[in-house]
Amino acid sequence: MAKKTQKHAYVIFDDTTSIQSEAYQKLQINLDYASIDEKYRVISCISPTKGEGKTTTLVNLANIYSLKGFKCIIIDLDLRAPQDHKFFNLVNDKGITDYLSNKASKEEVIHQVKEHLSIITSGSTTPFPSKVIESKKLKDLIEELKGEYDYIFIDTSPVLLFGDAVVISTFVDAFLLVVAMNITRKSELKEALKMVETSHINVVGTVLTHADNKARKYKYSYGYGYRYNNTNN
Amino acid sequence: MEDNSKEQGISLSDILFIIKKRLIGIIVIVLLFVGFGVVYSFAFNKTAFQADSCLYVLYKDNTNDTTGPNISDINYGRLAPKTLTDSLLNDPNVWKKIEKVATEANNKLPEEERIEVPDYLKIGKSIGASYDDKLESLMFIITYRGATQKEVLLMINACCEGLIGISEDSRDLNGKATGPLGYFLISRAGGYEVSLDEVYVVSQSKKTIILIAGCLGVVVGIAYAFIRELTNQRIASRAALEDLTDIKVIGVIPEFVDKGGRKNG
Repeated sequence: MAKKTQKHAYVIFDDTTSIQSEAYQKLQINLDYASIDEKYRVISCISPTKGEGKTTTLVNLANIYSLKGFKCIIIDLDLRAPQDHKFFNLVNDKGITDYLSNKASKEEVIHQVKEHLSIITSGSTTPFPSKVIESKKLKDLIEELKGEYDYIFIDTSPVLLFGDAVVISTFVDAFLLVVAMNITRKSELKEALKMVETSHINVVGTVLTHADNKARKYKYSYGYGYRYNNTNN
Repeated sequence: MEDNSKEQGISLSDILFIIKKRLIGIIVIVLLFVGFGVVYSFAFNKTAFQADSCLYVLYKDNTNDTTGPNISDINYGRLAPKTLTDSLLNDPNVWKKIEKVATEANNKLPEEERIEVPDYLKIGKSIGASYDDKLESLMFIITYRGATQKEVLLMINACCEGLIGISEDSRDLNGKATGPLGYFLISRAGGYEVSLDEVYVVSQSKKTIILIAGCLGVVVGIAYAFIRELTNQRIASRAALEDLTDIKVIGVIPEFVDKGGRKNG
């Protein structure tokens, strides 16, 4: 479980010179490098448990792509604890669940929040979130959106709590595994990795969030007798 | 894109980082130790007194000559103080003798000056003895530690008299020394008398105790920091993450704390 419930700031880092924004830009570049052979257009972030920065990473990564001129859309499929709308100060009244249950049209649920960035919030709460995620209509929507957007970012539930990531892996090209420094337990990460492996979820990279700036040097050396060498990347 | 440096082991900055990370815990531990030191120094550190006396050890075939060591005595100079020091520290019969001498001396004192003579086991615990074997000295130091000045004064003298008595008791009818202790004649160092002024305080000062407690606190605090770090069950570094998985780390997002203290990662 996450270490503690923290007060959370729903921040999108638009100042491209800020440390956080630069970190997301670096993540975007690394992700592009990882998808040289096979272009990843449907991207999702997963984490072992909640409170590890999965949604923040996803939203800010989408923002970076949109700032670079790519047309992006975020879909909040974390139906049990939707957060994405809070980043854009939206009211979560009409969203993906409403569209999938034919209570709203596609146009009604897509909110354009920035020039190249749109979002489909989770919408009305549903007692059967798994059913919604497994629906054929969702897959069809993703296919449709692929024709309209350069990148689709899908938020989902923590992998150790729910099996949503396995279900969406059928239409997600690449997953990023989000791990929070000093929050994620090693045992939780191991369990999540085991689950990822058995479910054949395509995790293309890990993202270390809540990184302590002071730990920059320390993080490379302590306790392992070697420093990380990225020359093989 | 990434740091390509290859360095081995823990550097000084790593150690400082760990200490800084656990600084609050270390400070708490140091304060706890200092607190214990203060409580101990005021509540449990009772004042103790000590006195030293000096005895000569003589080996004598001619027991009539007690003026001092002669040339033949020097051959035994190294052995004599050691044998007697061992006897003094380990032989309950010697302690019993001292108890007997002390009781007799105590009974001779005016009633208001008398003390409660410790039993021989307690005497054994209160006695110290030393000699300088390198110098082949025929002299050894005897020490007694007790709770009151009066007790120490009485007992240090009883120790000396007891030992002298032991050697004298060990002579045969012809005046020749017999038995393990009987080969030695023991006499007080010339003109050396322990007086009340020479009984000194030996308990540690409060400042010293608090200082030692503080130093111990720092050592324990730092040990705590490293143990916590080594047993940390959470991902504490990028290296820890890389150690657990072959999946590449493609992003490191620094923690962001806004003006309201809300975190984002």
